[in-house]
Amino acid sequence: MIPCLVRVHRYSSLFLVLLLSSPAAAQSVGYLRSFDASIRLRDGAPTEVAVRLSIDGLAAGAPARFTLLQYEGRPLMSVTATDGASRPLAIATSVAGAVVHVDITAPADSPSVELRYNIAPGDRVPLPVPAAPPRSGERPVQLTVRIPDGHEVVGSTFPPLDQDLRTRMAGVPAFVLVRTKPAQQVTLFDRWVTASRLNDAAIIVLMLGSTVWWLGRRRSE
Amino acid sequence: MAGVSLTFAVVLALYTVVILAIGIAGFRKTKTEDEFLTAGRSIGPWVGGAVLAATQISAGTFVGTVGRHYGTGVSWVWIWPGLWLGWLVSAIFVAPKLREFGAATVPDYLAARYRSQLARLLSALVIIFAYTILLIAQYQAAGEIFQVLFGVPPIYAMIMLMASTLIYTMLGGVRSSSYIDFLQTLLMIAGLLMAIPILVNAVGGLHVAGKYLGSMDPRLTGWWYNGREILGFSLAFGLTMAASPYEMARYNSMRDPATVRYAIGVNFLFQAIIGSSVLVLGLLMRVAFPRLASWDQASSVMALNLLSPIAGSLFLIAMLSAIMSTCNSILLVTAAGVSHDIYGKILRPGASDSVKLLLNRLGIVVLGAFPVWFALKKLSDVQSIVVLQTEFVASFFFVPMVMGLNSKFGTRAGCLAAMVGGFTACLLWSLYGRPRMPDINPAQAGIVASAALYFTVSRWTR
Repeated sequence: MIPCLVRVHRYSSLFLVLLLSSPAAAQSVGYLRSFDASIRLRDGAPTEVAVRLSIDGLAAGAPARFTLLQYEGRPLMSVTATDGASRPLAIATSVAGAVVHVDITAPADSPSVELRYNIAPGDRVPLPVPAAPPRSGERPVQLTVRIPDGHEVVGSTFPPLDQDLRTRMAGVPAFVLVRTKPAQQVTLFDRWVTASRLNDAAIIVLMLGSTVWWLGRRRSE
Repeated sequence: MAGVSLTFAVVLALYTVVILAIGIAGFRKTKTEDEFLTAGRSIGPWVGGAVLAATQISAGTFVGTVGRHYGTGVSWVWIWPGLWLGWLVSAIFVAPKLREFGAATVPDYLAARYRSQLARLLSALVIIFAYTILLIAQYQAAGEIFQVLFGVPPIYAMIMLMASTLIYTMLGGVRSSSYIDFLQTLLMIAGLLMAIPILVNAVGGLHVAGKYLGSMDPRLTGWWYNGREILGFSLAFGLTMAASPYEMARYNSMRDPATVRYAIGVNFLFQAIIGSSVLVLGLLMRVAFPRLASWDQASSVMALNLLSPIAGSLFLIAMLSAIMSTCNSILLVTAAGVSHDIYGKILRPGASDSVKLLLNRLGIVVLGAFPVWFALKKLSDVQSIVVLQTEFVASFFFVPMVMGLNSKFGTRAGCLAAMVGGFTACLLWSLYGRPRMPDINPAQAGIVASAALYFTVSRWTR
């Protein structure tokens, strides 16, 4: 608090108001250093999720909570947590309305945790969102999706994935949305008509339409 | 990421060319200081309405308000009725009367109405002070967006924003700014409306989002803020809008008092669309990304990680437009405070028009560059900075402006007492009162003190 006050005093006491009113000041759950999720979709079988993550500033033995959305009432199965040396960690799950909380105790001598679980097949696969946010300006979250052999992705994914079905981002998404179909059943419509493409087309039509309208109006004036 | 970056670079280049072209066209038509500050009083209701909306809709809305909805849920939406009440007060009691009065700036009006050069000086200084704070918020928001998007240090984004806004504001004054504001308002609406269906589709529908938000934290779909807090924020925003110098400066560019009223109605329409879109986007982002590094990142993460390259680029341009349009209005009103009110009316009343016009342009450069230093210190989140300046502006201007335009009761001493007392009460409450009684907003304390002093001192000195 003292260094804060000294710093603020230099900017005049008025800016103390800004500092005191900052909602970010109450952060005490550490920061997400890395979050590497691997999601394996399987044809007609439960999806496998493995997440390896590390949190800066989380004291050994401190509780760490992860929150998952419960899509379509599908429960998590075979939930396990291990430390960096693959030693099992104590785990407790609880359901609160439409979300599931997974509580673990931070490992004593290892900065990383690995969570694994399965979930029944469905469009959206929930991810464990830690209470610790990432640091501003960092992109510690990496996702990799594997789809069943012989399948192709159809429609838009969330979050948008590259051709290798990977992405890196600034925050942990609550879920991954990937729809697949056997390659022989994929039509041109599936491949090209996606929500984001329709959206882009609407923007282009709107922009061109308003430019043509504006030019026509100027000419008539 | 690469897709958005490349598309965004192309769209940004096109956008910059268009606004610079409008700036240059305005430069050719702007020969006098009056032209620079009032656009020859030629602005119509639709462009005028868009100007008012663009001036108010800022980083505070696109970054800060989306962030507030992201962080605190639905209840922040209740500040909008307060804000619109402020516009209603303005439409009935302030804007048409101020336009009819014909003053070029708000300090001009206060000096003429209360026959006080001190009122002019104080109001010009408060405008410069309070709006410099608001400019800090705009720069900070730009830095935040670009840091998330491109991973570049915030200083580069701030310099880019400052340079482009300074150039078109400095060249064309209010005329160019008005047409650019119109374009920017349309872009903001398009950017927001295009983002909603993609986000709704991603999270699985609005009812699904509501279910998850309620389970994550019941306050997100209920009341995060209590009634008194909401009332305090609403009053601070509403009363500021009713007598906000950077909005009032724009009334003077419109054709006549009837145009001003019509423009406020058009502004309502634009704001209703923008306000409801921002609410939906903030809530949906909370479902999609429950824990971001800061609330202020919700908008830029959405543009980057949810929208397609074209929609994401459009949304980012809309955000930049919101920031630029507000920066531009702030720069116009603060530079006028220096050149027109302090230099032209107090220090050198006989200064030539060309000198004042040059000083206006120089003022824009200096006042635009100064807040970058503060923005880099990142003292608070964007919305808190916006709230802070609204409290000071409302406490200082509301009573003398509204009473001055609607009654002959107030005297010079009453006006000065109201201004100084309102500002001081707001400052003291911010520092000492709010920590003890957080439910009472500093603007409430400031306006009550300002009104009490206005009536007491005016009655005493009549």
